[in-house]
Amino acid sequence: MRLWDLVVTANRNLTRSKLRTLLTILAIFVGGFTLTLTTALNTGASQYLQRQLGNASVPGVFEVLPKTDLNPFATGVQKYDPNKKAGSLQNALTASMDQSDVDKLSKVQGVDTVSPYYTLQPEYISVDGGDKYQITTLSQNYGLNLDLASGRLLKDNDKDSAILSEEYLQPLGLNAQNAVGRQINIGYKNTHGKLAEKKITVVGVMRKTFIVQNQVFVDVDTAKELADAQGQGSRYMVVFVKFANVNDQTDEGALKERLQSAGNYTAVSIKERIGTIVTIVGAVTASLSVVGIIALLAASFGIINTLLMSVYERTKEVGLMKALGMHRRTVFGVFAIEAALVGFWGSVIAVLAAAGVSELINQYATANFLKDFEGFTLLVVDPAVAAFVILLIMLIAFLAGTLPAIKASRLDPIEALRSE
Amino acid sequence: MRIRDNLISAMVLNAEEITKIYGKGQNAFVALDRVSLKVKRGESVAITGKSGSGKSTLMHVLAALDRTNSGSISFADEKYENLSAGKLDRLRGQKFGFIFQQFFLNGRETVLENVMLPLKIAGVKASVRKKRALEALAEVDLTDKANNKATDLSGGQKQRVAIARALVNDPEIIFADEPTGNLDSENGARVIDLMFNLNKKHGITLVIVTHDDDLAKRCKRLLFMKDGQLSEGKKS
Repeated sequence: MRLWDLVVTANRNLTRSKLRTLLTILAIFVGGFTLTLTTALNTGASQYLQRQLGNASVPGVFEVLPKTDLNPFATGVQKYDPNKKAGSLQNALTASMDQSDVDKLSKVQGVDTVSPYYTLQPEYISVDGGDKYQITTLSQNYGLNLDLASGRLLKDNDKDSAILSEEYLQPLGLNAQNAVGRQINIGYKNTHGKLAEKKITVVGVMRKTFIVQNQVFVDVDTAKELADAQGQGSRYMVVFVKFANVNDQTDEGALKERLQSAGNYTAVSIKERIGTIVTIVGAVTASLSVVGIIALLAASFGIINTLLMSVYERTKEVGLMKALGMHRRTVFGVFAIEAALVGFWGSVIAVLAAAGVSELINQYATANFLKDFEGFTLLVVDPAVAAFVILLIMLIAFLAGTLPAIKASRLDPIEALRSE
Repeated sequence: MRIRDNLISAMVLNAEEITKIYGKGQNAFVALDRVSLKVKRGESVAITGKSGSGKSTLMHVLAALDRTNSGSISFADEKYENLSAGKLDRLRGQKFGFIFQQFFLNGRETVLENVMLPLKIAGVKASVRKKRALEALAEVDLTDKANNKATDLSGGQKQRVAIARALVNDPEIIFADEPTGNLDSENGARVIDLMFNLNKKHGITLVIVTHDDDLAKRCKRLLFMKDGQLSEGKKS
């Protein structure tokens, strides 16, 4: 029998008991719909994260911390070891690195720049003559590829420069266009507790992210100047290390190993950090997908049931076809393809419905709870993922169909034709 | 040599000492007891006997629908016991035609689709299928019903569709199991005429299991089954 005839025959057999077929397809639909939506959520969130965090564009940048072997739950008093930086709980949580660490890390083979990550404690941000506002996070640039609304990223040789998160624009009476090039003031308290101001120029405006709010980035020199003024210039919690001559294909594992063996350090690359966030999002959506898979497994029992009934009803017909020379394999094929077709129709309808629902949810979300996250499409139905979902469901349905199909293929034509 | 070749080719079915036993041990039932039978090309053979005598079983094993316990059956020199299940399927699909008492038409499908079924199973192209099925329907004089649903036909018409279906793959033998069993005498007579017309016109060998005396009388050979044993009957 020709394959096309087989598919047409199987598809036509589906229409024999329309209600039964419809209910089976509906069960598949529920699973397929759930699975498509959860994968769409995963795609949407991942795409947004990739864009905001610029995953691929910062290879070879590591944050290096003192390795802590401190066990907060350990009992007894441990002996002092001058080589262990994070020997006390306070040290582990505050700045415990200094110039000696910078020197050590600078000597590691292949290292381009080593920048201490200064601890900054700003008081306010303002433009001349305007109101003062709190700064939620002020930190130095360490090579993140930010999602910019206007302007440019910070460069290594920038001085007195800043990137503002767009949340500050409206309070400061600016917009994305006129903010670039404007001078702003950062207020801070010096070592004597007296308020001082540092004037810096905005070079870029970054889009809002849901990871850090109200962020201000300054260049490394500015960060050092502020830290010095606050008496924090010589001790750091973290040191950022940038390797020279690296690209996306560079094996970061080897670089990490080099850094960690330079002293008692833990090195984490920016790629790893971002990877962790992406992994968490992946884990959340994967656990949601499990719900869809379970629904599909339940639905596959529906397929088995439907097809078994169908085999009993069509016993005579199967017997006749076998008598007329149909091979066992072909009989198997007719029923197994029928099962796969149930999966096909169920999943195609599910994917189309999920795409429609995604569109509605996105419209609602963008107008409401995602209003502040420009460029975040909550649910993205990726055609390749949708095709994969359809194939996966067809496979599950096919596997469910094998049991009834084997039963049909084993029917004895004489018995089948005799049955009344 | 030549004479022997002709003899062999003239022989279309050859069963030697075949035995078929159902069940095991004390419950064993001998349906066929060392039955031997030779059927020549173009012959028409009626197998009669009471129900339970083994005549249907004989037809099933001759038609390769069932395997024997011992003995040998061959069709045109091909021994069934040497053929795989797949090859036997192909043999049935290509060389045999079947007619059953209960017609076994698919009521949901059209007459034409029912007749095309053996060709579809054999993997014949769709356009060729239709042409050959229409030819077969013309033979049984049902061309005008080609697009009717099979369920809408009368019993006699249904059996004529079944004949067209048995004929469509251009078989060498048609096996018929009580072909007139569900028909009144008028329709039965028409079906009988059609079958013997095929026998005469196309030289198709007929092997018919029947209770129907009118049908049995028309056959060249009359065989009688009793308790699993076959005897050559007398033509009255």
